[in-house]
Amino acid sequence: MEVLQPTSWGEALAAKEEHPGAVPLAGGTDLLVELNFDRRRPETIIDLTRVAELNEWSHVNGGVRLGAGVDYTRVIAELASELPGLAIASRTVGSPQIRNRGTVGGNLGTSSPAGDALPPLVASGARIELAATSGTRVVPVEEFCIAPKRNVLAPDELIAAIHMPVATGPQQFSKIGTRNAMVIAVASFALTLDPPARSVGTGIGSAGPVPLRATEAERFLEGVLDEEGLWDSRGQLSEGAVARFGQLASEASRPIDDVRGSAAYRRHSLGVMAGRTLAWAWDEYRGTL
Amino acid sequence: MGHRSYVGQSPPRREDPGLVAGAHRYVADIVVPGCLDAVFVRSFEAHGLLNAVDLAAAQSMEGIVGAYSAGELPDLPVTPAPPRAEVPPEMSWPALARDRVRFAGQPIAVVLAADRYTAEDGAELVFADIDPLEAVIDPGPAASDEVMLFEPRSNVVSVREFGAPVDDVMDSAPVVVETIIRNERLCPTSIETRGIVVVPDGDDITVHVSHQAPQRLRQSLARSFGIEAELVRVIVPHVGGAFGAKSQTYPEYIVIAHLARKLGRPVRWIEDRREAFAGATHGRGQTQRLRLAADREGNLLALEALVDADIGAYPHTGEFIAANTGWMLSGPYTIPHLHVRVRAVVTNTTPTAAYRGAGRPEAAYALERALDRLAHRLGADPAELRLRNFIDRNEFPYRSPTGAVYDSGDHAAALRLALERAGYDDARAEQRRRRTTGDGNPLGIGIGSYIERSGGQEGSTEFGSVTIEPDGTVVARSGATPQGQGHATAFAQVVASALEVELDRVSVIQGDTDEVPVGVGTFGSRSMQVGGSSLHHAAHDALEEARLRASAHLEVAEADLRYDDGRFTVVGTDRSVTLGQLATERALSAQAEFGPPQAFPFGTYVAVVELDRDTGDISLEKLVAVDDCGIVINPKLVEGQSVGSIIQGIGQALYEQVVFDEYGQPLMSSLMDYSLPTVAELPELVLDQTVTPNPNVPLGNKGAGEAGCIGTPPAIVNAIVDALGGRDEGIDLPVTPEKVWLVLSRSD
Repeated sequence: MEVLQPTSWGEALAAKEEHPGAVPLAGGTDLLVELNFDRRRPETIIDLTRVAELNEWSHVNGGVRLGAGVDYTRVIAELASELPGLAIASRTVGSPQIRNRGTVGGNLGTSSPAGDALPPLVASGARIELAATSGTRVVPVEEFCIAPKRNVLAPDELIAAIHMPVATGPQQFSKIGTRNAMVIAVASFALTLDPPARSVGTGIGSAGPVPLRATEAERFLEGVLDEEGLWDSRGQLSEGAVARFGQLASEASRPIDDVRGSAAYRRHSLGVMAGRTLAWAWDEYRGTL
Repeated sequence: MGHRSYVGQSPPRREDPGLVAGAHRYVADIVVPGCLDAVFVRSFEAHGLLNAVDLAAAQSMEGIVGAYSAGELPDLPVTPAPPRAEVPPEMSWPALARDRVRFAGQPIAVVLAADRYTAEDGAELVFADIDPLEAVIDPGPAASDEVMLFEPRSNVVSVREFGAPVDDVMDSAPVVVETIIRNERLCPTSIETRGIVVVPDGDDITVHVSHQAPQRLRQSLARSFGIEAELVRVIVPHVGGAFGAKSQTYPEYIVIAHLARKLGRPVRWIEDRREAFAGATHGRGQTQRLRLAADREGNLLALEALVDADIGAYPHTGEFIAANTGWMLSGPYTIPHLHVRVRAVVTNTTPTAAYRGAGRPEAAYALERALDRLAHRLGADPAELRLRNFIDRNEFPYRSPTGAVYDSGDHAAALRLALERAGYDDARAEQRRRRTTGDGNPLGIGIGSYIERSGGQEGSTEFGSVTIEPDGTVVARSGATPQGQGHATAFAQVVASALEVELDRVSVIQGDTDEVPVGVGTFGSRSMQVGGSSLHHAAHDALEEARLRASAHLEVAEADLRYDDGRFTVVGTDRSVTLGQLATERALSAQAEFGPPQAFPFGTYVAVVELDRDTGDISLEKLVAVDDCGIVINPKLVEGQSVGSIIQGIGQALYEQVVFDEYGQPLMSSLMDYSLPTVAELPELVLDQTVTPNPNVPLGNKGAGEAGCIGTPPAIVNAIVDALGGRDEGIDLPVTPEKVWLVLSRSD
């Protein structure tokens, strides 16, 4: 096995072009597990940890451009007010040691439907910047993952950054697992409220082949908020609306049975988490939190 | 007991500085020049005919020193059965599979190289040709012999019965509750996995191994290889946890020792976590059918328990662990009629062996769940039901209907204290309020009363010796070998107390058969009860010998001697002689191999849980543990044992389970799949104790260390079922939010 250690983004892209089968390594929290269990045996690994450009985030066009190599600990420490949903999800990732190593870009690269960072990206309409020596393209996160552990990255491409809008309203994330921490989620749900745009975003994790949006739940809630003038009045959401939102979120999932939980429980718990995250977010919006 | 006593004190653990500084050395840290690393090739099938093992590619790989299957090692001994297990010779466990594989993870071949990396690569080149056979995973179907592991022999290895059938009582009893309980398999999961280094020197071998019973391993290896035990030296360095799973002789140990002897080179094997899940032993694994009969007042009339113990592919330690369950099934209660039948059944899964509690958690859980079912049926308070049926404190020693002789106890006192510390009445009032008003989440309060057994096998002894050195220091040697419990601290307390000397003057040696050739080991909560008692006796004998010598030395009668802090002084004079001086002329030493009767620690645990009505999430709010292990030598050590054991009990109640698929493939192969509780899962823990001295040992102590994982699971699960209003359908171990939600959703 060959391990390449580029020290600049240009070198990294050149290495990827030269070794299209190479597997990129960021924090290694997913990849090293795969290697340890001999589930994959790449001929070449490109260690991206020395590429300084990947470890930066900046403001671009009013949003955040998050370098693919920024770890969860930094997301929590530095971006909690601008990307609160992603920060909440990041706090639930593994242990402190894992959060010090693991990166949002790595989570995307692995493309597991159970990736904790992915539902907040979906809920906030994140766009993924992919780069190759030939140029750069940007794809919406929902189009990035195409199947469990599969994505649209071309053989010569690397994930450069994640573009996310700065939060304009409350964001929430909830996850259910087999214990309180350090678990692979049985199901997770992320919610973004965008009051200026009068829009609602959702993201479902661990309950489908890829992270999903609950589009009907979003449209339903936007409709209720518009019709009842709640964005302006900041009035109370009816219990019925919260329950219906949960139900629609639940129906948007496409879960399977596995050793961590049944499809039925995943569907049910998603409805509960959607309702709860909405209640928390709406309370926050109303200023009653 | 002299005036300088360390009993009941908690001096700093001698083990801790090394742990904190990372200075301890474990088997994997031992560097032996020229040592070969071994990697095992394991069966990927749970059951199959092993047609051939192709080693050619591995053997010809550069760097591979050797690759062997059973065929290359015709004189490879089988895995020795533990002394107590009933293992028919035709069911013996080959050290490397021959002709047949019977569980996924079974060693088929071994590859040696100068380093692990090369050996791993070599192991990958070994090809095993296996024709799969149908696998049987569950002991119930296995007992029907439709799929057989050892034709023509039945899968039922042994049947042990206690008492006689109680059908007549069941037929006439006013109330009978029935329940089927599945006590799931658990993985012992010590931080340090198994590891062994065998260094040959001529006919001698030195074995460095992570183990609980070095003297037993030494005997076992000597017997296996047909050599004198004197040729085998077993050294146990620091051990990172064992929990019962490091007390036996494993197939891997036989292979490593055999190859080291055969090649005349040091060989080592350090297990990885994946092997630990599939290839080491599991604990628990029983299906139990219980019938409990009572009168309308709740007086117990009879208990019937039909237990099928899944002991895995080869009968080993698990074979008699199941008997412990049968033996303890009447618990702390007066049960006039009892019938227990325990079948040990082989299945195509990893063999089972001891895991903390070893048979007692299975007994306590079954009985306590059945009692709560009875309480629910009678509309009785579960605490009252237990108080009504406890063996009275004045009835000890008490012979249980299974034949166990309980030494002493006051079960009602422990239960009452636990209720008090749990705020039982207030919790019940809050529960009633929530049920009446519909406010808040369901609240449940659960009780787990237990009695367990400490000391290991009846009549088993432990070696202890105490030697006074000329410089006045004292060396204590014990066959009890620690795995992190703190023996060196606690044994020093015992010896220093008996000799009435400064604690710092006593050092403790364990875990090396050259230093301590005789001994039994640390398991079954026996070290302090048995090993500590032997050291106490040895210290007293040494002191008496010293007194005799002092009398002669100072030419006065013993009655004219005053003893204080290691010095005999002639009363009314300044003439004196020290222990060290007495040891200078002639070695001053005494030894003992004391074998007290088994002891029966007991207690009551109370859990308070709250359930999330919507998700079924279980919040363990509080756990009260009242244990009675007699006189406590070192409260801090006992507390540490309690907390660790309770956490393992929480794991069994809520998180841990080894799962195989229908083909016998293990679905748990890492700590990502097998959820151990973390510190985030800890509830408010309230530890308390009652003290009922053990009448059969000099210090009055009983074993501590296993109680937590015995009392905790029934308390938690009873609390969950209580919160569910007594509905327990599908509430099996481990109780997950999903199982709770299923019950909640059926009723809402």
